[in-house]
Amino acid sequence: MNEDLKGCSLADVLERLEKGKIGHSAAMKWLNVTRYDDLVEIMHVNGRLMPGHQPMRVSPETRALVRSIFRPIPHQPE
Amino acid sequence: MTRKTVDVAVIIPDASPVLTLARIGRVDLLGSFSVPVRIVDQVHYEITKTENDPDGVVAAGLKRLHNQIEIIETNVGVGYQTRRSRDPKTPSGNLGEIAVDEYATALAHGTGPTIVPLVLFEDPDVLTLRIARLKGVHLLNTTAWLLTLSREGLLPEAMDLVEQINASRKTPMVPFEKVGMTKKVRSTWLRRSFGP
Repeated sequence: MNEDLKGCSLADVLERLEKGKIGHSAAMKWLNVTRYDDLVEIMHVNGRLMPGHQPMRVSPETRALVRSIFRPIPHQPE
Repeated sequence: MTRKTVDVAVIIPDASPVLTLARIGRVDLLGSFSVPVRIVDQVHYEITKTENDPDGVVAAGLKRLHNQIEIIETNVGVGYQTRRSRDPKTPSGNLGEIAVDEYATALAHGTGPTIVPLVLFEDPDVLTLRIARLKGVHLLNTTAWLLTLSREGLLPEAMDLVEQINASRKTPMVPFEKVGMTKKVRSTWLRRSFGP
């Protein structure tokens, strides 16, 4: 295990990965996962992005348009 | 330059968005549009025909939204139903696309720059249709719409719904948007958002 990660919590590890302070392999070893997809999944589930990634962009025009024609509805189970 | 106020018309040119919402049990989300949702008759037929809606769940869901769903009558749709009444086995083929083209042509000839068509689609073939080239058209696929609802905080469960949609697909539906070009027309939604 990466010596720097000894005693770290999950939140610490994910934060370090997001900020690019540790690499993918160190995080994957600490998390005990072997697939990159699993690492990305864990990051996203915990509200983090992979280092260098950007959230999916939605244009201001689309946001304004969708907001302007939205009205809340109660969920009616079908 | 004089600015004009425009309205938004939501148009669904292919069956997929409605069927996708039906698969996750959320056809009711179409009721979250404060403007009518327009579906051409032939596409409505494709959505609700037995092969796509064996239990009639989608048809019932759309019926509950009756005052918000506007079925647009086309010569293609009426003609197909006439032929089908003579021979129920008449194939519908790609008549949905042809009906949408007919409607788009009517829109192009009959409306001024007072309407921003918001096209909610999934089938990439829609991008080749005239509806996708209308002046000021704004294109969104289902996941881009849900993603926007999430980003705007309008539908907290939107991203869960995207996950549910993708869970039943071989490949995830990548959000797609094409912003309407409104250089000369400032629409009501732009004015509300960015001020006069």
